[in-house]
Amino acid sequence: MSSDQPWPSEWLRGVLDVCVLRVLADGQTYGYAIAARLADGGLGVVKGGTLYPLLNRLETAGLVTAQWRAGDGGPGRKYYLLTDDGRQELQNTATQWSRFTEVTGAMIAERQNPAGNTTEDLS
Amino acid sequence: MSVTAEGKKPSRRYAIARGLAPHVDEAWADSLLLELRLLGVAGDRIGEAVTEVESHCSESGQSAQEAFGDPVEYAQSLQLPEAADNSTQAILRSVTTILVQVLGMWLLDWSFEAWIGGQQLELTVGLLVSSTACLLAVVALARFIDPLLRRLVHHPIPGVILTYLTGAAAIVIPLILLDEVIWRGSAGLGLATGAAVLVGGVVWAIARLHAHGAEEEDPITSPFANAGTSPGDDAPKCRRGLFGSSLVFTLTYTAMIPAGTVILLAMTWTLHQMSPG
Repeated sequence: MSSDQPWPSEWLRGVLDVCVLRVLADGQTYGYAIAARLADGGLGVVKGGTLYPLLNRLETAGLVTAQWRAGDGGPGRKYYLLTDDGRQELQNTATQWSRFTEVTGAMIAERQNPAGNTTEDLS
Repeated sequence: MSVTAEGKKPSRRYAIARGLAPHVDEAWADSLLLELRLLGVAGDRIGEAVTEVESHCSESGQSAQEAFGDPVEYAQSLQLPEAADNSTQAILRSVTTILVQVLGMWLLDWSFEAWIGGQQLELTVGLLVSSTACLLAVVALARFIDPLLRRLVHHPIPGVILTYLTGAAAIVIPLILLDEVIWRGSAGLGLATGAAVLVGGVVWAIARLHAHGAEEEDPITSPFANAGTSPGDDAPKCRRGLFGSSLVFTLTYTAMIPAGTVILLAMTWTLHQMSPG
C-alpha cells in the first residue's frame, strides 16, 4: 500500500505506539523526523495531530524523555529519547504484535481460503 | 515591529502566539494556547505545546490546520496535566472573594433603597427571590466556569452585556414586583455593613492577588527562555499572562463587582426617582 493511501485509522491507532518506540530505538530524534521515518516505512502520513499527543502519552508514561534544543539557524526542536522502560515496552509489545499478526493472518487466511493451506498471499 | 496594510500595529491579542510561533497562523496558535489555558495547563507546558507546533510546521511546510486539525480538539487530545493552581478547588477559592463582594453589593443595594426612601430595612419576598437568584447564579458560575469563560473570551462584548442584562432582570424585576414585607431593621446599619463587606471582599481579592500574583499569572514561556535563545522577536512578551495584560485580569477580579454595585445603586436610585411618591 502506498503512502498516499493511508491505512484505516483504527489499525494505525493500535500499532503506532510500538512503531514510534521502534523509531526511537535507533536513537533520539524529534517529531517531524519521526513522522518522516513512519512515512518512509510505509505507514503513510501520520499527522502532527496524531503524533504529538502520542509522544506526550509516551513521555507521561515514562517510556521516553524529552529535551528541547535551540535550532542552529532552523527551528528549535524537542528531541525524544527512549528510556529503559521504553526499551522494555518495545520488546514486549513487538513480541506481542508478531504473535498477533501471525494469529490474525492465519485466521483471515482460513476464512478466505477454506483449504487453509497458505497465508502468504495476505502480506 | 511590522505594520499592517491598514497602517495599524499588529493586534496585541496575538502577541504571545506570534512570539512563540511566527510560522503558524496566529489565530490558530492563539486558539490552541487559549484552550490549553482554559484546560488549566501550566504556562510553561502551553509554551512547549505551541513551540512544538511551530517546529513541525516550519519543517514540514504544512499549515497548522493541515497538520494538526482543529486547535481546540488538538489541545484536548494532548491531555496535558492541569496545574495545581488551576484546579477547580483553586478556582472556587478565587470565586469566594467575589462571592463576598456580591454579598456586600446586596446588602448595600438593599439598605440604599430603604435609606433613600427614609425607611427601615425591609426584607421583602422580592428581595428573598432576588437573593436566591443571585446565589444560584454564583453556584452556576462555579459549576459552569469553563464554558462561561470560553463564551466570554470569544464574545466578550455581547457576553458582558448579556450577563449584566440577565443579572439586572433577575435582580430588579422581583424587587419591584414582589414587595410584601416579612422583616424590618435599620437602613444605616445595613449600608455600613454592606459597604464594609464589599470593601472587605475587594481587599481580600487584592491581598490574594498580591500573595499569589506570580502563581496566578503563570506566564506562557518559551522552552528556550532559560537557554538564552528565543524563537521570535516578540518572545519577551510571552512573559505576560493569557489576557495580554494582567491589568485586565486584576480589574475583572477586583473591580467588576464594585462597578456592578454602582450600576445597581444608580438603577435603584433612578427607579426610586421615577416611582410616584
